[in-house]
Amino acid sequence: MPGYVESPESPYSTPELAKKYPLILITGARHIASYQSMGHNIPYLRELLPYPLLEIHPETAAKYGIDEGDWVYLETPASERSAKPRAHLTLGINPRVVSAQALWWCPEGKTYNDRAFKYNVNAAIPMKPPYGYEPIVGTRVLRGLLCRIYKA
Amino acid sequence: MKRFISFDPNACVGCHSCEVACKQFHKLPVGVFRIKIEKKIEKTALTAFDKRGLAMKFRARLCTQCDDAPCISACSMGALVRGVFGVVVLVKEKCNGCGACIDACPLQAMWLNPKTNTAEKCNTCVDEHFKVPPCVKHCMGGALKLELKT
Repeated sequence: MPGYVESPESPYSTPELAKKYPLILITGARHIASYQSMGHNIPYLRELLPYPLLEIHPETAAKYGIDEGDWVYLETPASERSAKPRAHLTLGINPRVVSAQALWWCPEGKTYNDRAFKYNVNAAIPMKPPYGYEPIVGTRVLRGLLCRIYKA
Repeated sequence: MKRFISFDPNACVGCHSCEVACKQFHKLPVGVFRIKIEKKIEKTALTAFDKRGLAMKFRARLCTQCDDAPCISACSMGALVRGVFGVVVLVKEKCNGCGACIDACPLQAMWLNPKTNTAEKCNTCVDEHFKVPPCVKHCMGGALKLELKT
Protein backbone atom coordinates (compact mmCIF):
# COMPACT_ATOMS: atom_id res chain seq x y z
CA MET A 1 0.00 0.00 0.00
CA PRO A 2 1.38 3.42 -0.84
CA GLY A 3 1.49 5.85 2.05
CA TYR A 4 -0.05 9.27 2.14
CA VAL A 5 1.99 12.42 2.64
CA GLU A 6 0.15 15.60 3.41
CA SER A 7 1.11 18.40 1.03
CA PRO A 8 3.65 20.99 2.33
CA GLU A 9 0.85 23.44 2.95
CA SER A 10 -2.75 22.60 3.75
CA PRO A 11 -5.30 23.42 6.45
CA TYR A 12 -4.08 20.30 8.28
CA SER A 13 -0.28 20.51 7.97
CA THR A 14 -0.03 24.31 8.36
CA PRO A 15 -3.10 25.52 10.26
CA GLU A 16 -1.46 28.87 11.10
CA LEU A 17 -0.84 29.66 7.44
CA ALA A 18 -4.35 28.53 6.58
CA LYS A 19 -5.76 31.38 8.62
CA LYS A 20 -4.12 33.91 6.29
CA TYR A 21 -4.64 31.82 3.15
CA PRO A 22 -7.97 30.13 3.77
CA LEU A 23 -8.76 28.58 0.39
CA ILE A 24 -7.40 25.49 -1.32
CA LEU A 25 -6.30 26.00 -4.91
CA ILE A 26 -6.51 23.33 -7.56
CA THR A 27 -5.30 23.99 -11.08
CA GLY A 28 -5.77 21.89 -14.14
CA ALA A 29 -9.35 22.56 -15.20
CA ARG A 30 -9.76 22.73 -18.97
CA HIS A 31 -12.37 24.12 -21.31
CA ILE A 32 -13.69 22.30 -24.34
CA ALA A 33 -12.69 25.12 -26.70
CA SER A 34 -9.00 24.39 -26.32
CA TYR A 35 -6.79 21.33 -26.20
CA GLN A 36 -4.02 21.84 -23.63
CA SER A 37 -2.70 25.28 -24.56
CA MET A 38 -3.71 25.07 -28.22
CA GLY A 39 -6.60 27.00 -29.73
CA HIS A 40 -6.43 30.20 -27.70
CA ASN A 41 -5.15 32.11 -30.74
CA ILE A 42 -8.02 30.95 -33.01
CA PRO A 43 -10.71 33.68 -32.90
CA TYR A 44 -13.73 31.37 -33.24
CA LEU A 45 -12.50 29.22 -30.33
CA ARG A 46 -11.27 32.13 -28.25
CA GLU A 47 -14.72 33.72 -28.19
CA LEU A 48 -16.19 30.59 -26.61
CA LEU A 49 -13.92 31.25 -23.63
CA PRO A 50 -12.25 34.66 -23.91
CA TYR A 51 -10.61 34.75 -20.46
CA PRO A 52 -9.31 32.21 -17.93
CA LEU A 53 -11.88 31.30 -15.32
CA LEU A 54 -11.57 30.69 -11.59
CA GLU A 55 -14.43 28.53 -10.39
CA ILE A 56 -15.75 29.62 -7.00
CA HIS A 57 -18.69 28.44 -4.94
CA PRO A 58 -21.31 31.23 -4.61
CA GLU A 59 -21.05 31.16 -0.79
CA THR A 60 -17.28 31.70 -0.89
CA ALA A 61 -17.64 34.41 -3.51
CA ALA A 62 -20.22 36.24 -1.40
CA LYS A 63 -17.77 36.23 1.51
CA TYR A 64 -15.18 38.06 -0.58
CA GLY A 65 -17.67 40.28 -2.39
CA ILE A 66 -17.01 38.72 -5.77
CA ASP A 67 -19.60 38.55 -8.54
CA GLU A 68 -19.78 36.52 -11.71
CA GLY A 69 -17.27 37.81 -14.25
CA ASP A 70 -15.15 39.88 -11.84
CA TRP A 71 -11.38 39.93 -12.28
CA VAL A 72 -9.80 38.32 -9.25
CA TYR A 73 -6.26 38.34 -7.87
CA LEU A 74 -5.04 34.95 -6.72
CA GLU A 75 -2.07 34.63 -4.37
CA THR A 76 -0.25 31.74 -2.76
CA PRO A 77 2.10 32.13 0.27
CA ALA A 78 5.39 31.41 -1.48
CA SER A 79 4.89 33.00 -4.88
CA GLU A 80 6.26 36.39 -5.91
CA ARG A 81 3.55 37.15 -8.46
CA SER A 82 -0.21 36.82 -8.42
CA ALA A 83 -2.43 35.30 -11.11
CA LYS A 84 -5.42 37.19 -12.46
CA PRO A 85 -8.30 34.99 -13.61
CA ARG A 86 -11.96 35.86 -13.93
CA ALA A 87 -14.48 34.59 -11.37
CA HIS A 88 -17.12 32.09 -12.41
CA LEU A 89 -19.62 31.15 -9.72
CA THR A 90 -20.72 27.54 -9.81
CA LEU A 91 -22.43 25.18 -7.40
CA GLY A 92 -20.34 22.27 -8.66
CA ILE A 93 -17.37 22.89 -6.36
CA ASN A 94 -16.65 22.59 -2.65
CA PRO A 95 -16.90 25.96 -0.82
CA ARG A 96 -13.34 25.55 0.57
CA VAL A 97 -11.81 25.04 -2.87
CA VAL A 98 -11.21 27.30 -5.86
CA SER A 99 -10.38 25.81 -9.25
CA ALA A 100 -8.25 27.71 -11.75
CA GLN A 101 -7.97 26.85 -15.42
CA ALA A 102 -4.57 25.63 -16.51
CA LEU A 103 -2.42 26.20 -19.59
CA TRP A 104 -3.56 29.71 -20.43
CA TRP A 105 -1.47 32.16 -22.37
CA CYS A 106 -2.27 35.55 -23.82
CA PRO A 107 -2.15 35.58 -27.65
CA GLU A 108 -2.53 39.36 -27.91
CA GLY A 109 0.29 40.11 -25.45
CA LYS A 110 3.13 42.27 -26.75
CA THR A 111 6.01 41.20 -24.52
CA TYR A 112 7.16 37.71 -23.56
CA ASN A 113 6.03 38.21 -19.97
CA ASP A 114 2.58 39.35 -21.10
CA ARG A 115 2.14 36.41 -23.45
CA ALA A 116 3.34 33.84 -20.94
CA PHE A 117 2.04 35.07 -17.59
CA LYS A 118 -0.79 37.58 -18.04
CA TYR A 119 -3.51 34.92 -17.87
CA ASN A 120 -1.42 31.99 -16.63
CA VAL A 121 -2.20 30.57 -13.21
CA ASN A 122 1.40 29.36 -12.99
CA ALA A 123 2.36 32.95 -12.16
CA ALA A 124 0.94 32.30 -8.68
CA ILE A 125 2.45 28.86 -8.26
CA PRO A 126 5.74 28.72 -6.31
CA MET A 127 8.71 27.14 -8.07
CA LYS A 128 11.34 26.79 -5.36
CA PRO A 129 11.69 23.88 -2.88
CA PRO A 130 9.86 22.57 -0.91
CA TYR A 131 7.18 23.33 -3.49
CA GLY A 132 9.27 22.20 -6.43
CA TYR A 133 11.41 19.14 -7.05
CA GLU A 134 9.36 16.69 -5.09
CA PRO A 135 11.72 13.72 -4.35
CA ILE A 136 10.04 10.94 -6.33
CA VAL A 137 8.52 12.53 -9.42
CA GLY A 138 10.31 15.87 -9.39
CA THR A 139 7.31 17.96 -10.30
CA ARG A 140 6.07 21.19 -8.83
CA VAL A 141 3.13 21.26 -6.45
CA LEU A 142 0.35 22.25 -8.81
CA ARG A 143 -2.68 21.16 -6.79
CA GLY A 144 -3.65 21.37 -3.16
CA LEU A 145 -1.93 24.68 -2.48
CA LEU A 146 -3.27 27.26 -0.08
CA CYS A 147 -4.34 30.54 -1.59
CA ARG A 148 -6.26 33.73 -1.02
CA ILE A 149 -8.34 35.73 -3.47
CA TYR A 150 -9.45 39.31 -3.62
CA LYS A 151 -11.30 41.41 -6.14
CA ALA A 152 -9.12 43.22 -8.65
CA MET B 1 -45.63 22.55 -43.06
CA LYS B 2 -43.02 23.94 -40.71
CA ARG B 3 -39.28 23.48 -40.96
CA PHE B 4 -37.24 24.12 -37.83
CA ILE B 5 -34.25 22.85 -35.84
CA SER B 6 -35.20 21.20 -32.56
CA PHE B 7 -32.93 21.11 -29.50
CA ASP B 8 -32.97 18.31 -26.93
CA PRO B 9 -31.36 19.62 -23.71
CA ASN B 10 -30.91 16.09 -22.35
CA ALA B 11 -28.83 14.99 -25.34
CA CYS B 12 -26.59 18.08 -25.46
CA VAL B 13 -23.04 17.54 -24.18
CA GLY B 14 -22.00 21.20 -24.37
CA CYS B 15 -19.28 20.81 -27.00
CA HIS B 16 -20.13 24.08 -28.81
CA SER B 17 -19.50 22.37 -32.19
CA CYS B 18 -22.77 23.76 -33.57
CA GLU B 19 -21.68 27.32 -32.87
CA VAL B 20 -18.34 26.99 -34.63
CA ALA B 21 -19.75 24.95 -37.54
CA CYS B 22 -22.55 27.48 -38.11
CA LYS B 23 -20.14 30.40 -37.97
CA GLN B 24 -17.71 28.84 -40.43
CA PHE B 25 -20.53 27.98 -42.86
CA HIS B 26 -22.13 31.43 -42.76
CA LYS B 27 -18.81 33.32 -42.38
CA LEU B 28 -19.92 35.29 -39.32
CA PRO B 29 -17.51 37.64 -37.55
CA VAL B 30 -16.34 37.15 -33.98
CA GLY B 31 -19.05 37.88 -31.41
CA VAL B 32 -22.00 37.17 -33.74
CA PHE B 33 -23.84 33.87 -33.63
CA ARG B 34 -26.89 32.21 -35.10
CA ILE B 35 -26.93 29.52 -32.41
CA LYS B 36 -25.41 29.69 -28.96
CA ILE B 37 -25.39 27.08 -26.19
CA GLU B 38 -25.52 28.23 -22.60
CA LYS B 39 -24.56 26.03 -19.67
CA LYS B 40 -25.79 26.35 -16.12
CA ILE B 41 -25.46 24.26 -12.97
CA GLU B 42 -28.70 24.25 -11.02
CA LYS B 43 -30.01 22.78 -7.80
CA THR B 44 -32.40 19.87 -8.24
CA ALA B 45 -34.19 17.40 -6.02
CA LEU B 46 -32.01 14.84 -4.25
CA THR B 47 -32.08 11.37 -5.76
CA ALA B 48 -30.33 8.08 -5.03
CA PHE B 49 -27.80 8.75 -7.82
CA ASP B 50 -27.37 12.45 -7.17
CA LYS B 51 -26.67 12.99 -3.49
CA ARG B 52 -25.62 16.62 -3.94
CA GLY B 53 -28.74 17.59 -5.85
CA LEU B 54 -27.00 19.36 -8.72
CA ALA B 55 -27.69 19.16 -12.44
CA MET B 56 -25.95 20.65 -15.44
CA LYS B 57 -28.49 22.21 -17.77
CA PHE B 58 -28.07 23.37 -21.34
CA ARG B 59 -30.10 25.91 -23.18
CA ALA B 60 -29.87 26.77 -26.87
CA ARG B 61 -30.27 30.32 -28.01
CA LEU B 62 -31.73 29.22 -31.32
CA CYS B 63 -34.67 30.46 -33.40
CA THR B 64 -37.56 28.00 -33.18
CA GLN B 65 -39.48 29.75 -36.02
CA CYS B 66 -42.32 30.35 -33.58
CA ASP B 67 -45.87 30.74 -34.87
CA ASP B 68 -46.60 34.23 -33.51
CA ALA B 69 -43.11 35.57 -34.14
CA PRO B 70 -42.66 38.85 -32.20
CA CYS B 71 -39.67 39.77 -34.36
CA ILE B 72 -41.86 40.07 -37.48
CA SER B 73 -44.24 42.53 -35.84
CA ALA B 74 -41.31 44.42 -34.23
CA CYS B 75 -39.58 45.03 -37.58
CA SER B 76 -40.57 48.41 -39.03
CA MET B 77 -38.70 47.84 -42.29
CA GLY B 78 -40.52 44.62 -43.21
CA ALA B 79 -37.22 42.80 -43.37
CA LEU B 80 -38.46 39.77 -41.45
CA VAL B 81 -40.97 37.68 -43.40
CA ARG B 82 -42.53 34.25 -43.12
CA GLY B 83 -40.97 32.32 -45.99
CA VAL B 84 -41.29 28.81 -47.40
CA PHE B 85 -41.97 26.00 -44.90
CA GLY B 86 -42.95 28.58 -42.28
CA VAL B 87 -39.37 29.71 -41.74
CA VAL B 88 -38.88 33.30 -40.53
CA VAL B 89 -36.46 34.72 -43.07
CA LEU B 90 -34.43 37.88 -42.74
CA VAL B 91 -34.21 39.89 -45.97
CA LYS B 92 -30.76 41.44 -45.60
CA GLU B 93 -31.35 44.11 -48.26
CA LYS B 94 -34.24 45.62 -46.27
CA CYS B 95 -32.66 45.38 -42.78
CA ASN B 96 -31.21 48.63 -41.41
CA GLY B 97 -29.76 47.10 -38.22
CA CYS B 98 -31.99 48.98 -35.76
CA GLY B 99 -32.06 46.01 -33.37
CA ALA B 100 -35.79 46.10 -32.57
CA CYS B 101 -36.16 42.40 -33.38
CA ILE B 102 -33.26 41.54 -31.06
CA ASP B 103 -35.07 43.20 -28.15
CA ALA B 104 -38.39 41.61 -29.14
CA CYS B 105 -37.11 38.01 -29.35
CA PRO B 106 -38.16 36.17 -26.16
CA LEU B 107 -35.50 33.47 -26.72
CA GLN B 108 -32.62 35.93 -27.25
CA ALA B 109 -31.95 34.08 -30.46
CA MET B 110 -30.99 37.08 -32.61
CA TRP B 111 -27.73 38.97 -32.88
CA LEU B 112 -26.57 42.17 -34.56
CA ASN B 113 -23.82 41.75 -37.12
CA PRO B 114 -21.68 44.92 -37.02
CA LYS B 115 -19.83 43.97 -40.19
CA THR B 116 -22.90 44.05 -42.46
CA ASN B 117 -25.05 46.13 -40.04
CA THR B 118 -27.90 43.62 -40.23
CA ALA B 119 -29.51 41.24 -37.79
CA GLU B 120 -28.50 37.57 -37.76
CA LYS B 121 -30.87 34.71 -37.11
CA CYS B 122 -31.25 31.02 -37.85
CA ASN B 123 -33.23 30.38 -41.01
CA THR B 124 -32.53 26.59 -40.99
CA CYS B 125 -30.26 27.22 -44.00
CA VAL B 126 -33.19 27.58 -46.45
CA ASP B 127 -31.09 30.04 -48.44
CA GLU B 128 -28.38 27.38 -48.86
CA HIS B 129 -30.40 25.16 -51.23
CA PHE B 130 -31.98 23.21 -48.36
CA LYS B 131 -28.75 21.46 -47.40
CA VAL B 132 -28.55 19.76 -44.00
CA PRO B 133 -27.57 22.61 -41.65
CA PRO B 134 -23.95 22.34 -40.42
CA CYS B 135 -25.05 22.56 -36.79
CA VAL B 136 -27.17 19.42 -37.20
CA LYS B 137 -24.40 17.69 -39.14
CA HIS B 138 -21.76 18.38 -36.47
CA CYS B 139 -23.89 17.77 -33.36
CA MET B 140 -22.17 14.82 -31.66
CA GLY B 141 -24.77 14.28 -28.96
CA GLY B 142 -27.64 14.23 -31.42
CA ALA B 143 -29.33 17.11 -29.64
CA LEU B 144 -30.01 19.19 -32.74
CA LYS B 145 -32.36 17.76 -35.33
CA LEU B 146 -33.84 19.20 -38.48
CA GLU B 147 -37.57 18.65 -38.32
CA LEU B 148 -40.45 19.02 -40.72
CA LYS B 149 -43.79 19.25 -38.98
CA THR B 150 -47.13 19.31 -40.73
